[in-house]
Amino acid sequence: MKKKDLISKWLNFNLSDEELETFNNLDVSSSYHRIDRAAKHFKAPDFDRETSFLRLEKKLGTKRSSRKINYYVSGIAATLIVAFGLFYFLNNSSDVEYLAANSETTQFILPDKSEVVLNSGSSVSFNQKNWGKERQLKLDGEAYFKVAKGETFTVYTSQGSVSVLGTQFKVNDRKDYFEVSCYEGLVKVIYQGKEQHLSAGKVFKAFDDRFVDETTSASKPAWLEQKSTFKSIPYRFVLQELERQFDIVISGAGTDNDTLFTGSFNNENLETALQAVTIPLNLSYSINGKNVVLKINQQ
Amino acid sequence: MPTPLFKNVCDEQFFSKLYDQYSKDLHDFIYYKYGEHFDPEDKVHEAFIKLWKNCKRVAPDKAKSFLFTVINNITLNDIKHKKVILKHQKLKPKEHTHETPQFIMEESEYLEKYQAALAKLPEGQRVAFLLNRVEGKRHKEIAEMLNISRKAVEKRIYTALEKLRREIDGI
Repeated sequence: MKKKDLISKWLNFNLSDEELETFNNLDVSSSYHRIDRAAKHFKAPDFDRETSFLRLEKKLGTKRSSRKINYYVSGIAATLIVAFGLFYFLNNSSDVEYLAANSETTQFILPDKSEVVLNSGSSVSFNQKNWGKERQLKLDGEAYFKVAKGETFTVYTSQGSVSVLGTQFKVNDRKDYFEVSCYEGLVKVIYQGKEQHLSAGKVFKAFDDRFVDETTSASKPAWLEQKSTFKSIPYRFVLQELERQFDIVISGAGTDNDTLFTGSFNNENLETALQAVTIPLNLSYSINGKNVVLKINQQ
Repeated sequence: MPTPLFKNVCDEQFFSKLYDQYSKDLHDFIYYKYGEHFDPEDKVHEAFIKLWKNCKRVAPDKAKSFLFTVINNITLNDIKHKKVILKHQKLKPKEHTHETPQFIMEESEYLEKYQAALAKLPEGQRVAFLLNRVEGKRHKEIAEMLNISRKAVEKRIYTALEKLRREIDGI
């Protein structure tokens, strides 16, 4: 190895023991080591992010509160207010709950800076006081997590639990249906007492006493882009998702249908979504306010 | 690739997350590059205030380069060719070793030479060198901070080290 490369490797903290010995035998190595040791004397003044941020908030002061009102009007932030409202009025302990009602999604950041997006008809709760000690939360419904590095992060649901060290994943815990998708890193799933590891791109599904292992090439859930996608899912679960996305009640044919459905619907337009899921099964629909009735087409 | 969850940086939680992620690097970057003529924290604040005012126009994945560019410009406007001084911390006599007065004197002479040599380095070399040696950052991290190639960082640090050695050893 050239002398210059060896030095650069040393500078990048990359030398093996053997290489370090060669380095130490260089005529200039003692000068380098001394320069390295003494560099610590020029360390920048200490910087505390938290207190510094408080000082910044003071400077931003009044301008910020007027802006607050503006953007709390937007859908996502409005649900945050509802969540905080519940927290303050119903619950005096340090449990925090975030909700996304039907036909809404909510995004928020946990105390450790992990990011969470809740899909329609879902909620998450956790204890703020204990968060520093153990990162664990309860999920009812479906959520996407982008976890900050750190200690184990665990999501408990009614059917199973999911633990990670730092990654991106999605958990979907619905009535009789459980799904975990891992987008990055590695997650540990405990379902009915059985432990399983999912690496990036792997999906675990459980419904109707069946377990399915699948792969996904997606880097995040489709519903982050206003789409709901399904791969070999019993039709009734598809209809239940449709109910949550548009805050409607579906009755009639198909609601107890177990035919496996693969496809997707758009979360923004009810008519288009209904067409997308009814046409393949030869069904027709009629909308009456919040009620949708499905019928089998007679031919 | 992690995908951004936010359209822009106007969300307060996201904004404070950015502060958590980048404020220290920005602070160190300015200190090592330009020395201590002003409060580096002040510059960090100014950069973040600019970011907040322009939050609608900054996409989350562009926030980092926005901050580093803005803080550099703000500081450049401010200092206008002042000589860089990096304060070295006072040497504390160690309790358990027996250092002769001569050793202590030599040591402080060494640091003064060091200080002068650091001041002579071009800004780009100094900031890369100190982030590497003092903050323990790897070449790749520094490349991302300064928005230059890893190879360029390697060259800057190596050149800085050689210059310091020659300057201090009086070659």
